[in-house]
Formats: sequence, structure tokens, C-alpha cells
Amino acid sequence: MTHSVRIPLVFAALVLGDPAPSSAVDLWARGARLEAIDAARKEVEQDPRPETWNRLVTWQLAVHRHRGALADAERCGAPCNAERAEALYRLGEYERAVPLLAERDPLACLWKIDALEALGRFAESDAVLDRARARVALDAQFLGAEGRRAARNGDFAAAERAFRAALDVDAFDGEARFGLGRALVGLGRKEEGLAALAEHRRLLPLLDGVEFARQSLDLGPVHAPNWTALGDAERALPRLDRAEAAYRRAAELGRPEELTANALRWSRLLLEDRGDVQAAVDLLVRTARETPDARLLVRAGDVLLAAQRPGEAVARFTEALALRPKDAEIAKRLAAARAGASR
Amino acid sequence: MRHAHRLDASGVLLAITAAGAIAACSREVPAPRGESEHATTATLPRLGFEDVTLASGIDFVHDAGVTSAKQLPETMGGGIAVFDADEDGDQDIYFVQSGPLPISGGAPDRFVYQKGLKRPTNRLFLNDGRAHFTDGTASAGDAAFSRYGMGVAVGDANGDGHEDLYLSVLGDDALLQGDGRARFRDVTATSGISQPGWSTGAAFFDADDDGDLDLFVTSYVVIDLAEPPWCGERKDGWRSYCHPDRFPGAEDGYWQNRGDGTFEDHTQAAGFADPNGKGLCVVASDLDGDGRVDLYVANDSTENRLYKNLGGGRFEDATLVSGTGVDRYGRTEASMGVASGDVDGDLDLDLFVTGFDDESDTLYANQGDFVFEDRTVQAGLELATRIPVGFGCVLEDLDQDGRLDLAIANGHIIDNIALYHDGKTHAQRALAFRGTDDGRFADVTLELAASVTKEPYVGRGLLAADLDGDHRPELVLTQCNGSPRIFANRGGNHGLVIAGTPHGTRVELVGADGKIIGVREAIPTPSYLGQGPREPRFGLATGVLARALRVRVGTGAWQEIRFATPLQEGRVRLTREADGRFALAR
Repeated sequence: MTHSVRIPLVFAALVLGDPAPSSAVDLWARGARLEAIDAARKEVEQDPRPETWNRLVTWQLAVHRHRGALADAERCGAPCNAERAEALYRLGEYERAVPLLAERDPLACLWKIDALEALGRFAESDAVLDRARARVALDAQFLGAEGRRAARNGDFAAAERAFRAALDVDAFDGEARFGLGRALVGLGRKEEGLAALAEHRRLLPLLDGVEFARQSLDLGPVHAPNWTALGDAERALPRLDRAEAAYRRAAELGRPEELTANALRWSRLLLEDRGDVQAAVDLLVRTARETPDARLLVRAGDVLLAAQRPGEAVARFTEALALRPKDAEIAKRLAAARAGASR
Repeated sequence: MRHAHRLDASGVLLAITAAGAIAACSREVPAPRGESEHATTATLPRLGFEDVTLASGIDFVHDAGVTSAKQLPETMGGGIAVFDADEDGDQDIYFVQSGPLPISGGAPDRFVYQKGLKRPTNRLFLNDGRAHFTDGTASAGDAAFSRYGMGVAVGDANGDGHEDLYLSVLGDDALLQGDGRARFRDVTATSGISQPGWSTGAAFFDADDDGDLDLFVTSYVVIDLAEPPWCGERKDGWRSYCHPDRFPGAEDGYWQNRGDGTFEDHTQAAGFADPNGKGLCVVASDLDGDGRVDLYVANDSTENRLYKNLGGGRFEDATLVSGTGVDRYGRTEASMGVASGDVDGDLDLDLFVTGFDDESDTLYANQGDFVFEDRTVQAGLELATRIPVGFGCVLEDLDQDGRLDLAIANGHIIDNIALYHDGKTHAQRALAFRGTDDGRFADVTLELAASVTKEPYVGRGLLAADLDGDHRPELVLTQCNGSPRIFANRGGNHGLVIAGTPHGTRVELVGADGKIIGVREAIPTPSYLGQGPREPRFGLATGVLARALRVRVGTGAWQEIRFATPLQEGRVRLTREADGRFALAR
């Protein structure tokens, strides 16, 4: 089971929309997940529609209540087959999971390939992979599976092609980077292979950092600092779009005292990685409006000063000083900004 | 249930311990063993164990010093060594105790043991040769060690012919000098070794081929007991042990023997460099067959490391080219225990590593030239090892049919894991696999459901050793914060044990047709935080006979030693002549 196929479910569960307002949904949205599951169970008892069953089962899966999810999915019947398949897969009951894993769902299809491989049913896993590749042309994970299969069969040239294609899709795909290095070594191109493996080694702690952040999110998906940590980890790779999405989510979820740290990090991305001074300043100022914190305004002032915009910096430092009137450091920076503005 | 209750036949087998003639040395490398040497399915000896813990007299209970603070060391311990402490020819057992945690020394990785606080000690149990043990701790001197223990390594550090012990602990490790009479003296202060912090696995081995034993010690993570982070949900009862990613890694240590049992830190000079590694276990094994013992370090959640021995006490990080740093997905593994052995009969040594849940344990098949391939799936080991958290592991011919089998001790590190995953448990059943042809394994966990795999345990260490003298390996399983279990081997054939082999000797067994039918090393197996017996042991399928041994110490010449009559089982003792050549003891 690859890490990358584990996490999306959490996010999917988070955004699982239900048009009908319900206390269960409210609880879930607030992060009271076990309580939400209890409420969802009551809803099922009162209104056993497929939607309510589905929500109950999906939520249980999201909090690793795999046995509970399986039992409820079986009670739910066909409408919950996908969830039943996932529960069986998570529980390692692959023989039972395989017939239920739907190949049209990319994630379930990857699980099916993985389960069949684990069962040693390689011909079947190969067939599933072939069908999937016919449907899904450019997906790093399917390409990775193809490379892994080729390497397993000793066809290192095909493995190289597949892993390179996967890297074209996602340059930070750890499996593809590692697989490419191994394939090249297998082809006798040791120096090239070692270079790829060295790059994989460089990326490993960064990828592990992302994985660790995702695990924290798995435990606390509405805890804003977990999203900020994911943003940091993604930025370190760097996968900037994903990092920014994580910071944005943290900003949506964060309590006032959590927003500053997130905005400071996010603004660094905007400034240092995107080179977008205005976006960084706008973010800091906007956040300061929501949660008055002198650090945000000081940082905005610093950014503006460094960008040779001392007049605007004066305004930001002035606002910061208003929040912390006795802060000598802010006063010093304000003076510097004023001196720059007067020149 | 295929539980067998055959009685001990050691009396018969000992009579087979045979004198033999020394044959001329041969450098010819015979072909790998053929199918003809294997048992057919129809003639497979059956696996069978019996839980003899109660009858063994062993009453050790590991105390992890569990606190509400969920300090990470509380969930990692359970070290064990099986060796002949009193040199009476049988295997004794030394259990590593933990006990109450020390207090923080005011900084990360500093630990203080309060004076005057009575602490539980490590314990040494002496074997009467029939797997009945008496507690020999009181007369074992400093072996009654009482710092918060993790693991133990066994080796004759000072070359006096007696086994010494290296103890890895939370805080300063210790070197205990043995006198061969089950008594030990703490010589750490004069040994030159200073290994503070949190060390875990350790291995004695002759790194520089100079005839003495050097030492490698793995270090885990840097923690500050004064400030344990809160992990898991902030609700009553939900606090959880933290993932090691919450802590920085710690550098392993390599101590080179000066030749007199004192050591110098050669970690950097030797080429070991993994400052961020989170080492739990190390196996010393000559993986490329060049006579130099290489090292493989199992790291928890950081890349494992394979160090190729270049000779002269120098090592090269061969992890990248070997492919053994990560699994086949290119992911780091939460590696815990490790074993080496020739699982596919191609006469080189493969590696097996246990890991965390939702990732399988991993079999790295040796392809030669320091290239390994993750063949976990092909070997049939993927499915059963995915859900449990694997710790100790042994590659051992448990049924003595000529193929290595595999047993794994499992147990989660998180005691309240069931709160977080309703399909997971803290205590977990062990797993057992029977080696079949071509490096594949069949899951025989259910076959041992009356013994080894019957109860779920918080398994940590697992060692195979012949405790009752019948030349069949028993299994000793340790638990974290619990009692060990002893499982007597009641099934299978009886094996051929080669005694008297110096540490690091490579031993090949030559079949009746002149083909090599097995390879072993006289190096204690580490499993997890432990050390098994050093004596090589071979199993032979029914009807298969061995006519000779080939032995080599370090990079020395191979020597073939022919038995007077072909053997299938028993105990062969080698002695070393003045010129360094081996002879069969008479």
C-alpha cells in the first residue's frame, strides 16, 4: 500500500457534502468526528437511506474504524460496496476486497493492483494495470505501477521508460525516482543510476516530512496548524501549489491565534518562491485585519522596505506600533522607514 | 493443529558427534545446491512447537517503566541474548531489563539515574542442558545491571576466550567482561567506550580482519525526558506514543578494538556517516562473500544503511546501489529487526527486515555485487506482514528440511492503538513461514496455532537456539513490559550444529555429491535488540547427508574438513591447530 493512495480519502471525507443540514454534519465539520459518527448512526436508524449509510461508513473509514465501517457497509448493502471494498482492503482482507474494488475508480484500481500483487496473483494484477493504463494515460501512480511491474519482470528498459514518464508527470514522485535509479543500475548504467538514487536520497526526508504532516492531518483534519505544517513540508520539496493550498486551508480553519504563524509562512512562499511582493504584503495585511498581531504588520513593513517601498512600510510599521506602542524595535524600524521615505 | 510431541532424542544425536578426517583444502566453488538436496513436499518434516515457558523455570518479566507521559523508550525494550555464559556446552539466556525511566539530565539525550533508587536488574538464567533454567543473576556480578536497558551484544571483546557483553541502555552503555563462569565485571570505565544517549542494537564483529572484535552500536533518537511531546488526541486515555519523526535521529557509533579489549571511536574514520539515522538494529554479515564482514543497519523511518567493508577498518556506504535503504516503492520503512540468511539457496546471504503496520516487512534478495532486490511479494511475505508491527525475526531452518524458515515477533508500539484503529491491537500474534523452493515462503502461522502463534504478544525480541540439546532450534520470544515465552521445537528433523567456530567464520556444508548445500556464518543473529547463538546450524532434509564442511575465517583461505562418515545430524566440534587450520575435535 503506498502512502500516496492513503490520504486522499481523508480529504474526500472532509468535503463530503450533504445538502441536508444535520447535527452529524456540523459535528464532523467541527472536528468532533467520533461524536459525529455517533450522530450519523442515529440518523441511519431514523432514516436508513443510502446517503446516510454512506456517510456513516465513509466517516468511519476516515477515522480508521475499519471494522466498524465494514460491518455497517455490509448492513448498508450494494450502495456501500465501494466503502466495503476499502474497509476490506484496509484490514488486509485482500481476497474479499478484490472483487469489490472498482477499476473505474482510480484509487480503488490502484488498491486492486496492489492487493493482487500482495496475493501473488501477478497475472491478474497485470491485467488490471493494462486496463487502467488504457483508460488513464498520464498518471504517475499508474506509470509507477507499470515501472514496478517491468522491473519485477527484469525488463529494465521498459521500467526506465515508465518511471521517466511518471517523473514527467510528477518530478517529486519518490517511487519513480527510486525506480528509475534501480532500473538504470539494472541496465548497467551505474553512474546514471546512482545519480538518480542520490536525488531520491535527497528527496526522501522531504517526502517523509510531507507524509508525516499528512499523518498529523489524518488525526486532526480541522486543526489549522496541521495544515500549516503540511504547507511547510510541501514548500520544502518544493511543491508550491500544494503548499499554498494547504496554507489557504489553514487560513480557512484557523482560530485567530493560529492565523499569524500560517500567514507568516505563507507570505514567505509568496515572496521568496513566487517573488510576489504585493501578494505577500496583501496576505499579511489581510490577516492582520482578522487577527490584530503586530508581527504581521512588522513583517509587511520589512517586506516593503526591502522592496524599496518605504512609504508603504511606514504605514505598516505605524499600525504595528499602535498595537505594541512600547516596542522599541518596531519604533526603530519605523524610523528607518521614515528616513527612507524622506529621501 | 500440527503440534508434535516428539520426545527429546538428544542422547542419540550426541552419539553421532563424529570424529573425521581432515581433507585437503579446495578452492573450487561447487555449484549451488540442486533440487535433489531438497525434501519433496511429500516428505516435508512437520513444524511443531510447545510452549514450555512454565517448565523452563524462567520467571523474568520485562518492566518497561510505563508512565502516563508516554515516553518513547517505554515501548521499545525487550532485549535478549542466548549464549553459553558458563561454558558448559548449553545455551543460557540473558534478559535485558528496563524499569523506571531515568530522569532528564537537563538537556536532550542526557539521562540521570537517581542514586539509592532500587531498580530491577537484567537477569541471567543458566541452562541445565535440557531447557530447565535456574536464575544465576545473584552470582553473575555486574551482569545484574540496572540501568534502563535496551539491547545486548555478545562477543569475546578482549580475546580471553570468554564471551563478554555489551549493553545498550538509555544513558551510558556498558561493557561487561565475562570469565566463562557466568560472572561478569563492568569494565566500561577502562574500555575507552563512551556511548551516551539512547543506543539500541549492537554487534561485535571483526571489522578490520585483525583477529579481534570491533563493535558497532546503533543509536535511535534524541529525546528529552523532561519534555515529552503530546501525541495523539488531547483526550483522557488517548495520549499516544509519538512517531519517531517527532525526534531528531542520533549517530551510530563504531568502536575499533585496540587488540586488548579496549576501544577507540572510529566512527568517522571508518566511513560511517548517518547523523540523522534512527537505528534500532544492526546485522553483521559478509554479504558479498569476500571474507569481510559488512553491516546492515535497520533504521526506524529513515533510510536503512548498508555498509560495505573495504578492509582495514574502512567502510563504504553501499546503500544506494544496493537498493536496501528503502522498500520497492522507494519509501523509508520503520525498520525494527533484521536477519540475514540464504533464503533462496544461491549461497549468498539475503536480508530480511521487519517494519511497521501498513507496510510489509521486507525481504531483500542478494543478487550479487552488492545489488539487492525487494522480493517480498514474490516470496509470499507481503500479505501476512502488512498489518502487524514486526520486531524480532529469525531466518532459521525450524523444521530442518534444508531450507530457511522465518518467524516474526509482532506487537504494536502504541498501547492504545485500538482507540485509533478498530482493526488493530497492541498485542499481536507472531507469524511463521516455511521456506519452500526458490526463496519462497508458505505462511504456516496456523500450523503453529497451538504454540508460537497461539497468543497475541507485545513481541519484541525473537531468537532461535537449541536449548534442550536435541539440535532443533527452540524459539525465545520477548515482550515489552511482559513475560518472555519459550517454545520448544518438537517437530522436524534434527540438525547439524557446528561448534568451535570462531566469531565471523563462514561455514559451507558440502553434500554427499560434493555440492554445497548450505551456507552459514558464525555470527550471532541480532533479530531485535538481541543476539542469538553464534554456532552455525544446518538442517538437512530426510535422507540428505553432508560429507564435509568448508570453513573460512575472515579473508583467510578456505579449508575443507571431511567427516569420517557422512552426517545428517548431530554436533560437530572444530578445534584449531597451532597453524590456524581446523580439525574435528576427537
